[in-house]
Amino acid sequence: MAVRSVDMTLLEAARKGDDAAFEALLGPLLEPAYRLAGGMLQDHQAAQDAVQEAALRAWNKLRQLRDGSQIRSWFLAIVANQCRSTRRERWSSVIKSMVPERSTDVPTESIVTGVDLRRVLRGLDERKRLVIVLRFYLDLPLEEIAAITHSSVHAVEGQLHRGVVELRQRMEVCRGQRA
Amino acid sequence: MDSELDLTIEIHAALDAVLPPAPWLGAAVRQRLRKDDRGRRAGVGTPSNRHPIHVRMEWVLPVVAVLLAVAIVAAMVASRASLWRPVPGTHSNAGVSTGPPLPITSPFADCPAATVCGYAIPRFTSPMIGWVVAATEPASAQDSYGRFNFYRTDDGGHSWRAVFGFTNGGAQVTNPFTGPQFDLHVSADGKELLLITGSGSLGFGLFHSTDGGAHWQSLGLPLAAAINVYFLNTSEGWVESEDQKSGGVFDLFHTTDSGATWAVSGRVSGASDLSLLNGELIFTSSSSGWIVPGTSMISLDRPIDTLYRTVDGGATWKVVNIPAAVSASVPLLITQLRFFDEAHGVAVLRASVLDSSGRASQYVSSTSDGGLNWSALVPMPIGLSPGGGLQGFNPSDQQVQAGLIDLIDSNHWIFSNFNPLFRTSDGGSTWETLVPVAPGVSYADLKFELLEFTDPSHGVGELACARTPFLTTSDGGDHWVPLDVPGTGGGYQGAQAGYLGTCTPTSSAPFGVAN
Repeated sequence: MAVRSVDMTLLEAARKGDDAAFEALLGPLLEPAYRLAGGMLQDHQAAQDAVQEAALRAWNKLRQLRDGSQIRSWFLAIVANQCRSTRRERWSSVIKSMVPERSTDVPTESIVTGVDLRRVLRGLDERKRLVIVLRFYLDLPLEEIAAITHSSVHAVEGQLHRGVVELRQRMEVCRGQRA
Repeated sequence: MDSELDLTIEIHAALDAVLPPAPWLGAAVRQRLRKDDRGRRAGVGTPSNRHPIHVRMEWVLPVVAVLLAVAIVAAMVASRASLWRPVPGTHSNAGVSTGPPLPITSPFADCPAATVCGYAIPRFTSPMIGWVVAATEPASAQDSYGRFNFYRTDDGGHSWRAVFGFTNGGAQVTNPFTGPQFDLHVSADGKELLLITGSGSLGFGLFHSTDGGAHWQSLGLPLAAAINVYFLNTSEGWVESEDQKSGGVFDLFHTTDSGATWAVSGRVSGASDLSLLNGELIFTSSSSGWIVPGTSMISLDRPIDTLYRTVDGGATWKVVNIPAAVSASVPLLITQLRFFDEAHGVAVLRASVLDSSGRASQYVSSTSDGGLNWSALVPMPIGLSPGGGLQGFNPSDQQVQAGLIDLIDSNHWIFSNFNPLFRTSDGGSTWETLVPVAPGVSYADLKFELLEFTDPSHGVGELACARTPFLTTSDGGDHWVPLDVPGTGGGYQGAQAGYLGTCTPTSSAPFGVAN
């Protein structure tokens, strides 16, 4: 309750134009936001840009936030939307996608798996990738994922199931091609 | 990867490997907000001062919102009420704008220098007739709740008349400046207009007028999850919506009455190909259409010369390749597809990797049989430099980064990266290098971030980092003169940041071009 009280005080202050209050509200959320954007875009520069733009957008939409306890899911939803906009920027995504993955002298199985996994994640459709990143990279509960994606817990479960099945199938294909 | 725990561990490892810690992110966000702060303090507003009622009378808001929603729904049911209303002083004579000529000044006369204040988007449908959507208050430039005026010129931009203004009225209208899409279709007689704004992530806006823009109807799209909207003219259009229940499956909706009613015309099943989400939808007739896949296709090692084609209005789709691209020594990406009629079209392709000089080669391939056969690749006159290569302007927009290519018709194209200009009148076989001249603008400051021609002679260009950003030409780009556009006075956003990129002011010439 104490945290909730502080959040609401900050929220009220931020709504009145207190930049410091807004930054205090947003500060703890930047790390999960960066991870979400990074998981969606797989480019740390683009992820940082997306978080910055999302922060600006959050400021402009602050009045839409009614309950300070939901600020994390509210902000992560904005970040997810920002990532979707970012993906439309073709030039950067293409140039960056052609940058070779990091290599080592002796590729280990885990590195190869990581490369494959990132490729497969990139290939998943946006909604599946979003719920997978939220669940398995940000370790969020289903209820919060539902709030971020504006859907029901049941729908999130379905999307996760289909996403994981597709991800595993694609990973098998990758492994088969390598073999 | 047998259990969820294994999956969690592997995903953490895979993504952590490409995401270095970003301890400076907090500072970067603060800097980004501070950068925006000057604009807010100059009038864009804080969340509270833009909406003081929210702070003082919170209990009233839900009641007002409910009453307002009921009133809007009732009005729309009764008469599909216009959410856009005429600017005071204008009338609704069909096709004729009768308001008083407007002074060409910024609505932000008191906007301090180096402050984000306004935006404007001009569209010319002929050398003489053009339209401008301009923000009418500072908040509109950044907020998704917009206040915009719509202007028309009948004399090539010498004078403008306000046709209507949207005054918010409690309903949200997609800000045309926040999304990548801004399309305006005008019927031959100028009476019917269709305006599409926004983007898949922000939501599309679809607005229709039958009286030359004096009154507008806000029309909904068939699904909230629309990701692509394409209109052939003011009446016929398509919407691609993602099926939320089935990933990679997209429903195609079709309208022939400007969006009043929609019918499902087909499904696009991406199966394992998920690039359709990023794709672009194009129709060249009621039956013939294309989808240019997005770049996620690259990451799947799919052929990047792949297009999707329909000849039955979207009921079925077939993969079509551009054979010319297959023989290229480096992978190519289709950056633009333009059809001038059902048979004649041009695809612009560029290398997906930079050469040793930091540029990416670019090519065009043409078809004259509706895409069944494509010509050999024709190289563009100069490679592309993603950074622009010009001091003081760093473009962020993908089209600007890719170089500006306005495909006026099947033979006449004009190209800039960013200066000089190149012009062809024979479909790219030969190129002419132009050294454009504009009064009061140095050659170095002619940094075009927009080129739109209505015919091979007449066009409009927008300069980045310029206080007088819009220019017009009547000789194919050799000579340019300033085009006065409402809403682009001293506080114009383009002067400070460039509409499609970022400017770096210098002490001697803050924004490149003097007024």
